[in-house]
Parts: sequence; C-alpha cells; structure tokens
Amino acid sequence: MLRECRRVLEPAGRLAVVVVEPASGLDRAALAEAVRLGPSRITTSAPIRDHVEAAGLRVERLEDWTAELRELLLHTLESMRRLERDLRAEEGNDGWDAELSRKERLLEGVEAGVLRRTFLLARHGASSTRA
Amino acid sequence: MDGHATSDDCGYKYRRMSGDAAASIRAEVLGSDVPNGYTTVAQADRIGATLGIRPGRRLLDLGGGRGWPGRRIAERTGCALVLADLPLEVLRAAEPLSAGSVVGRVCADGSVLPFRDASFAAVSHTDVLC
Repeated sequence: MLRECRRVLEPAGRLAVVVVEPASGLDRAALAEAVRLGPSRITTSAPIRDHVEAAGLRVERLEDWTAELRELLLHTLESMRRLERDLRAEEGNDGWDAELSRKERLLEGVEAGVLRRTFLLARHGASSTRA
Repeated sequence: MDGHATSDDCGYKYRRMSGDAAASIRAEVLGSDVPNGYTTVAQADRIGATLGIRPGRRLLDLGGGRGWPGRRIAERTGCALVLADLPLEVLRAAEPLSAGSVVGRVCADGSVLPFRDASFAAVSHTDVLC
C-alpha cells in the first residue's frame, strides 16, 4: 500500500499517515499484549516509520499522538456509557458489547504503554535521514 | 506492512456505530460526526497544514470512507479530494464538499491503486482498519 502511495505521489508530494501501532522497544510478551489489545490488523513486523522508508519515502516528521488518543477514548467511553440505552437500541446488544470492549482494550493498551498512535509525514524521495 | 484489508473488514468498520446516538458522540468527542477512526478536527487541520497542499491540487484520502479527514482538509485548503476505499456503499454516502472542491469517489484496494503515476500532490492515510 505504501509503495502504491509513493507511486501515485508527484515527485515533491507528501504522505501523511496516522496509525495505532505497538510502542517501540517492546519485548515478546509486551508485543503479544499490543496485538491482543490493539486494532484487528495492527502491524507488528516493524514500526510504521520503517515501512514508509522501505517504500522509498523520506520521513520529515514523526509525532506521538498517544496522549490525545487516550483523552479521546476516555471521553468516548464516558459518552458511550451515558448513552448506553440508545446505543444498545442502535447497535444491538452484541454490537454494543463489542464496541465497548474494543475501545476498552485499546485504552488498556495505551495506558499499559504497549500501544501508541503515531503521526508521520513523509515526502516522495529515495533517501532518508533519521531524526 | 502486514495486514490486508478486505471489503468485509471495511464494511464492518463503517457499519458499526452508525446510528444517531453514535453520531452525537463523535460530534462531541471528535468535532465531526463522520464515522472514521480517531482523528479530531484539530488533528485533521494539522494534517492538512503539514501536507502543505494548495487550492486545486489533488489529495488522495486512502481509506477515507465517507470523507474523514479528507473532506475537512479539502474544505480548509481548497484542494481537490479523491476518496478511495473498498465499501462502495460507504463511498456513496460521502457528502458533497462545499463550493470550490471536487470529490472523486473510487472503490479501490490500497495495494493496487487505479491511478496514474505522480497524479497526486498529497496522500492521507489515517486509522485505516482501526
């Protein structure tokens, strides 16, 4: 997918990626926990930065947006519980349970330090300099 | 990257939390009622600013579903937005932009994009399959 992004970008074009991924430096057990708690198709083979660079893009900016994700999840869960009756009616009981559990797991992963949300900006180009 | 989206994966992602109560939560928490990931309005504006895209240039929002955050970026910058995602019903539900921008909706797998080389000034890829 990232190689396709590079192909369709103009020579000076930029790619913005935001992704929830395992935190850096995790041991095997912590990585397994990140997979258990994270999004269904979380990428575990390498940090997103490495994938972007391998696709031939030059990383210009890398930011950690995990704190904002934590606040958003806390706020969302609070609102979901407040509107539980309406949401159960809309989503069904199974849908409600699944969505609540999904967000609770993600928050658990963030608070345990095994998941992070990364914002990355890259420019079309073959070479790369690490920040 | 490991992980490969299917139309079923993506369709499920957009079908869940698609009612009025869910939309009210998104409006309250994200500042947008468009169902797609965890990107707030402020973050969408930051993405648009860092992409540095100008009016009339083409932005591809990959996995952008009903248009978040691409629609916000296009409305703020005046760029021309192309949404690419797998579920056709989601792309059809994308609301039109305000005047000055154009929406293209393309049903496409991100691993085989149906676009010419060097055809976009910017690509955004946010919370795909989160």
